[in-house]
Amino acid sequence: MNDDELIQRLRRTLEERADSLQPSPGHLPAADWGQAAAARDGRLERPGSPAANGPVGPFPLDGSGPLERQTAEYMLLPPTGPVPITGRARRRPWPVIGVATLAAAAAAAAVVAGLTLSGGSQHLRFTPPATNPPAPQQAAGTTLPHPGPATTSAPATTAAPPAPRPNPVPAGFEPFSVTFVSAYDGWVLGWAPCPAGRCATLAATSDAGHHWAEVGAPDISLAPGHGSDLGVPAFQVRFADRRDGWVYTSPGASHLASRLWSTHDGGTTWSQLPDPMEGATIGDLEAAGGFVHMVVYGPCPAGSSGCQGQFQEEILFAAVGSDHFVPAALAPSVGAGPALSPQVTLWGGYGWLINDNREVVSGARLTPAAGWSSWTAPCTTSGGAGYAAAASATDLAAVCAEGMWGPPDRGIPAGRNWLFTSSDGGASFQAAGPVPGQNPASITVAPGHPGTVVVADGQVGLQATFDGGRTWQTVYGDGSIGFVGFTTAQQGVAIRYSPVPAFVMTRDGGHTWTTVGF
Amino acid sequence: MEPCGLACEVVTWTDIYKAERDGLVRLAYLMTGSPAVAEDLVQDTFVRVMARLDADASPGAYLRRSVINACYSWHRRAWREVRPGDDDRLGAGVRAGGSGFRAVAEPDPGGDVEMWDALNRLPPRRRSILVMRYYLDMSEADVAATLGCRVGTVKSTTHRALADLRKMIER
Repeated sequence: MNDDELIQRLRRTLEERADSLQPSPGHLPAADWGQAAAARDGRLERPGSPAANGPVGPFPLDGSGPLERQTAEYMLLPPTGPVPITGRARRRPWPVIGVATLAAAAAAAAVVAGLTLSGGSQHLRFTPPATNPPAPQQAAGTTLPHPGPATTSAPATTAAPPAPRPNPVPAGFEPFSVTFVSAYDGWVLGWAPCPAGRCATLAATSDAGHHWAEVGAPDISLAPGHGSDLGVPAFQVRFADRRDGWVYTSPGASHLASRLWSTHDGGTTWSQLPDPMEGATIGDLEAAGGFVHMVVYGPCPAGSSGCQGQFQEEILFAAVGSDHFVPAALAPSVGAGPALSPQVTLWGGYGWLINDNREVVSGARLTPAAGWSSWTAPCTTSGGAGYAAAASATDLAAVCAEGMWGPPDRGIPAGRNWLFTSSDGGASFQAAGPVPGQNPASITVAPGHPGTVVVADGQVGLQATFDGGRTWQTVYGDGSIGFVGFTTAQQGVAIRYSPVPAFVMTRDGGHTWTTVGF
Repeated sequence: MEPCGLACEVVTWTDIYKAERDGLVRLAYLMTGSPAVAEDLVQDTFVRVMARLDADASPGAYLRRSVINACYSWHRRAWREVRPGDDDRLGAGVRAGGSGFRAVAEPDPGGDVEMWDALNRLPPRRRSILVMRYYLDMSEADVAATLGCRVGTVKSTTHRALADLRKMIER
C-alpha cells in the first residue's frame, strides 16, 4: 500500500467514523450566559430563541451536556457530648478520629462495630451502636465549579414545563450530598424510608431543581431504628456529566475500607468498583476536565519506613467512563496528626488538594501541563483547618480557622476565621479579613466573581460577602449548613443538616437562599 | 433611531451552538476516540470561548482551534499523569487516545475497524496531526500554527504517523 492509498483509507475511515456519531442533544452551557454576553453588549437575544426564553427543559439524563460542576459532601462529625478541646466542632471525614475526645472515639467505634457487610451482595447494613451514637454537628464540602464565564445576568429563571415524574422522590427523603454538572442537571443523595429501614436514595433533576425524580442508587441501607443522622460518616455522590457518576462511603475508621460505586447511565444502575487501595478510606473524590480524581489514605503498614505519622495517602485518577484508576506520581505527606481530611477542589483541568490533619499539613496542585505536584496550601501557618474554593483557574478563596490547634498566623487573632484570596492560581494568598461565625464547614466563590464568597458555618448558616470580604451578611440563618457551592454565578446549592436535613438553593447570586423540596 | 432591518440581525451564541456544536463533537471524537469525552471537551470549549468572545465575532475558527487544543491537552494529561512503571496499569486507550475507555454510546459503523484501531493506538500528537491534515484538510502551515510548532515538525510527524499506521495495519 502506497502513501496515497493509505491516506485515502485514512480519510474514508475518519469520515465514516465522524458521520456515524450522533452526538447527544446538547444545549448552550447556560442560557443566562448567552444572555449575559448579549446584555454586556447592550443587545438582546432574538425573541423566541431558546436562550431568550430560558433553558429548554426538561433535559434527558442522556449524558450530553455541560460540565459545570458542583459537588457537595456531607460528613458526620463529632458525637454528641464534649466538643473538641478547642470548643469548636470541626469538619472531619469520620467521627472516630476527627475529634479529640475519647468519648467521641468510643461512640464512633461503636458505630463502626455495628456495620456489617452482607457477603457478596455489596450491601451495607448498619445496626444501632450499643452506646450513644454520634449526631451530626458539622458537615462540609468542597466546591467544584467548572470553568464558566463571568456573568452578571439575571438568575437563570426557568419556565420549564413540568417534568414527567415516573419515579417521584419518596416521602421522607433526607438529602445529604449534592452534585451538579450544569445549571440544570444535578443529583442529590440521601436516605429515604424503605422496608429495610432507610435506604440510599438518589434524586435527579434536569431543570435546575424545579422538578426531581428518583433514579437508581447503590444498595445501601440503615437498619430500622437507626436514624439517618447516624449514617455513614462519608456518604457522597459525584457526577462528571449526565452519565458518569460515583457514590462512595467511608464506614468510619481507617481500618475499614471505603466502598465505591459507579454509574454510566445517569444513575439508573450502579456497580461496585474494586477497593481503590487495600483497606483505604476515600477522603475525597471529584471530577472535572474529563477525569475523576480520588484521594485515598490508609494506615501505615507495619514496619514501614517511608510512612510518617499514622497514614499514607495516594491520589488516584481515571478518565471519566473508564473506571480504571491509576496513581498520580505525587504521594503527598500527610503529617503526624490523627485526623486526616483531604479536600479536593477542581476547576476544569486545574485542581488543588488540601490535606488537613488537625492543621493544614500539605497540599498538591493539579495543572494540565504538569499533573499533580507539590503545593503550599493556604492556611498552612494558621494552626487550624482550611477550606478552599475556586472562582476560576486562577482565583481562589480560602477560609482558615486560625489558631484552632496551633499558633495562628502572625497578627491574626486565634479563634477567628480569616478569609484569604489568591489571584495567581494559589501560588500566593493574601489575607482579606475576618469571617463571621464559629465553625466554618465549607466555602464557595461565584464563578467569575472572586469577590462573591459564601461560607457555610455550623452555627450561623450562610455568611456571604459581595465585596471581597470587606463586609459580610447572614444570607441564610435557618439551620446549620454543611456544604455550599455555586453552580453558576447566579445559582448555588447547599446542604442543611440541622435541625433537619434539607436541600437549599439560591438563584440570585447568593443573596437569598431557600429550601427546595423534592 | 434608524430602522436597521436585516443588516442588524444579531448572531447569538444559540445560533452558533446549533451550527457548530455537532461538528465540533465529531472532530473531538476523532481526536479522542471517546464520544463522551468529546462532548465534554466541546461543551467546555464553548464555556471558555463564550467568556472571551462575542457571538458576532465569528468565533467558528477559534472554536475549532480551541477544541483541537482541548483534545490535545486532554491527551497530554492522560499521558503525563502516569508514574514511571505504571504504564502497564494504564489501559491502552488512555495511552493511545481513548479507545480503551468504556465508550459510551460509541458508534459502531463497521467499516475499516483495522484503520480505526490503528489510529487509536497512535500517540496523541501524531493522531492529532493526522486528523487535522486528513479530516479537516488543514494545511501544514495551519497545523503548525495551531499546535505551536514548526512546519517541518508537522511534516516529519505526519510521515512518522503514516508509517506507524502502515506498520500496524500490515502487521
